[in-house]
Amino acid sequence: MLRPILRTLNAAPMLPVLVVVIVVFSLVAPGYLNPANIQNLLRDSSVLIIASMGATLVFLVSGLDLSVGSVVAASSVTAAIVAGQSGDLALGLVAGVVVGLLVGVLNGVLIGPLGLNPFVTTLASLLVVRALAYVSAAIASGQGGTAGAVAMPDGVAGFGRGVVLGIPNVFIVAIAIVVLSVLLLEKTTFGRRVRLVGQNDVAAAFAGISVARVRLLVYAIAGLLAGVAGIILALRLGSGSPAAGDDMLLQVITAVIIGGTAVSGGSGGMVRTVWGALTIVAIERGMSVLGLKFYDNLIVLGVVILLGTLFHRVKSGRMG
Amino acid sequence: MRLRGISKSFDGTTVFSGLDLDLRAGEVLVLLGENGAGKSTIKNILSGIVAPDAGTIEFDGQAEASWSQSRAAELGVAAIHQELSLFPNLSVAENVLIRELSRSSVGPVSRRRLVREAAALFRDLLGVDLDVTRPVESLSLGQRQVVEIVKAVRMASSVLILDEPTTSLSMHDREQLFRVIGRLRAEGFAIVHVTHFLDEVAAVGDRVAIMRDGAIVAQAAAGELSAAQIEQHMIGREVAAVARERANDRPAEGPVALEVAGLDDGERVRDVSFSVRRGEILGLAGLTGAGRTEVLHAIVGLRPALGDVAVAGVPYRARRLAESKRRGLVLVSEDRRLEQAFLQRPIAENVTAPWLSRVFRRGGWLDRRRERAFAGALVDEFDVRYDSLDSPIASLSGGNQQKVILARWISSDPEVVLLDEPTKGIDVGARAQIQERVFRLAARGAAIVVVSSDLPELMSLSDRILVMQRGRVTAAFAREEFDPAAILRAASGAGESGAAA
Ligand SMILES: Nc1ncnc2c1ncn2[C@@H]1O[C@H](COP(=O)(O)OP(=O)(O)OP(=O)(O)O)[C@@H](O)[C@H]1O
Ligand SMILES: [Mg+2]
Repeated sequence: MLRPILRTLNAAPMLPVLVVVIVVFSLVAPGYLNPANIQNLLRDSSVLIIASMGATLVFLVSGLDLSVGSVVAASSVTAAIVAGQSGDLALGLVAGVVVGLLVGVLNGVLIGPLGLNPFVTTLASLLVVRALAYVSAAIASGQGGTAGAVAMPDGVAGFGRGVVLGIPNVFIVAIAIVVLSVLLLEKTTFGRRVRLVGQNDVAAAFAGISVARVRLLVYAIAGLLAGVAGIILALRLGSGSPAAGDDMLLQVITAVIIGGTAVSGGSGGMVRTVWGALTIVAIERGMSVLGLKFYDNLIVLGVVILLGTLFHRVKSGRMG
Repeated sequence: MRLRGISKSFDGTTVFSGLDLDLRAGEVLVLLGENGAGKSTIKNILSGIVAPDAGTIEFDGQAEASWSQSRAAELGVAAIHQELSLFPNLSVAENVLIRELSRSSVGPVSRRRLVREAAALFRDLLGVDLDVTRPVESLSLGQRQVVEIVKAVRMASSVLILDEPTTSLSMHDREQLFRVIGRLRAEGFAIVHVTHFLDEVAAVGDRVAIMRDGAIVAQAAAGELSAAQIEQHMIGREVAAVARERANDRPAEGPVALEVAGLDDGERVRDVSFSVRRGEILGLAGLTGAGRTEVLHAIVGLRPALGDVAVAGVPYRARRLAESKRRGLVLVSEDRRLEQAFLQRPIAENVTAPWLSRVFRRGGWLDRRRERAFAGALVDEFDVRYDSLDSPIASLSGGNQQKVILARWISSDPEVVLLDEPTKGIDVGARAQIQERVFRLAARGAAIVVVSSDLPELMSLSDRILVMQRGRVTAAFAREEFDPAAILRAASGAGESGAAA
């Protein structure tokens, strides 16, 4: 009786918290459960989920990527600029993804083969990429210096707002990426190497695993996924926004940690991060339905992080 | 101290139920038993690290209601852990005097006094001169064990529990340790000594307790049981000596598989040259710190060193771990915790870690069924005691972890295998099996280099033994000339220097 419950809890520690959050909000916020709100919830969570998949991989290799938010923003701006200038939407989207991949490869080379500290390295790329996103957006939208969003070509919003069988298009993309990420992590030798390096990089080297290469690839994939998250954001908003990345970093890290992936590497997984991301967005939606402001969101987010960590603590205490 | 009716289980697996054990002041109790019998768990319960599920702990005739680590420390119960528990980035002195450091958290600590005090401890206790300002991570495993011993002895004032303290110690350090144990016993300490070396029973023991499957199956005065009887109690049979099946073609005639010439890192490895033929087992003997481990590390590229290495006649210059493995040169290193085990990952993953390319089907997809079959077969072949292949390797006893690591490496068909303390922490029965596996590996044509502090084992394994001292090869013995006394003399510098083979 208890065993299946424990197993589910183990695989998705945030699931019960998500259920509680939804039940509480549906009681206090009328209209929380109506289909339009749920669709918005799924739409809002898509970008976060995609970016968090990469971040989960980075955490698993016991690394850290602070640049994820900036890369999402830069990718959305790039997509909007290139699509706007060339008039070719596909080209814009590819450009957005390529920007993400480039930053990821750069992070990866510095951290993997060159052995730099991930915190310092990605802090530097956070700052540089963020600045570049603001500058290029300002130039493209013709406003010297202020943070302007760059509009995507018309007609894009159709995909961003569209639904298939009631499910938002962007959420379908996010789920597809989750599936690919799960396959990569659980079914390939690369995914296994990621976990082994994260658990003990010295032992991994002794086992003949090329630790530097695994790290490089992990950061490159994280950059690529942040790039994808960026173009999905641009499609959804109908514009590329340099300011979009500012909260994204906090949200991504929160999603991964409360989802139940260890900061110290080795243990964790993709699906649990999805539950973490959905929990965050469910809270935010609830707060906005209640008409509360942004700061209150942050307070609640902080409390959720603490409760989530405490929850993992109690659970592992009981089980180990 | 006294344990009464102690029961303990992990995740539903019972380690023991209703166990009784007495420790007496002024007595050394030698605790023996198979890998996984529950010896370390007893240590953990005595030192308050693990709480028993049931039963009482008495100290000095008083039942202790809430036994804990701090209560144990208060009463002077200290333990040396099988898995060393030092802070690698702190200096030796800081590690040894860690309690003083944490107590005087207010006010500055006089560094000079700390160093002086720690150095004095090493000199008085073990008669070793160790630079106590060095960080622990720069020490060899044997030296770390010495530090761990000094630290525990310093903290103990009534009970001292030593969990396999001699696994990485050289003969010389071992004798020093026994002298310390003898002195503490005379001072009225109760001492528990956990070991897999049966000769240590006579060397330090007053009483022996033999465990099997979580129960104490025999207790006796140290002199009462012969080694054979002890083995009988431990594993239900006597351990037959493994003799090596000698093939007709003498290994000395096989082609050279590993050639090392003038290996030198300017520090711990000085101008080391030797060669090993296919099917040959070469032993490296020496004291702690003689540079044996460092030689192995230099060969696979873990330590930058000048000099030439050739594998199967092909020169190997830019030496790196991953490249070494590709060339069929594997090192089973000594520091299991740091360099070999993925502690929180499942047993199966620990076995297959270096062989992922064997387990995948095509294009990088893992074939989990094949992986489990592969790992399961190996782990069973090495007689590992485990619940499930999915349990983390950390849940195994020390000896069983070591078997998993050996299973991992010996399973491949390597050209050259470098074994650093391969039977560390492994019980007498399993040790014979491991030796047999090493012989079989040699018979299949691998060249093997073994480092072992256990001289009898080294002599039974090797075709040839090189003795090292301060980074140099100082003597060589062919199998016919093996003589423990001569080897020891050469290792400690008193012997005639033979030519390097
Ligand atoms: N943390 C743990 N979780 C699960 N099982 C454990 C844990 N610690 C020990 N065990 C189990 O308890 C049993 C006894 O282990 P213990 O470490 O006491 O053996 P041991 O006698 O010290 O063996 P060795 O000679 O190999 O060191 C083993 O079956 C082991 O798998
Ligand atoms: Mg043990």
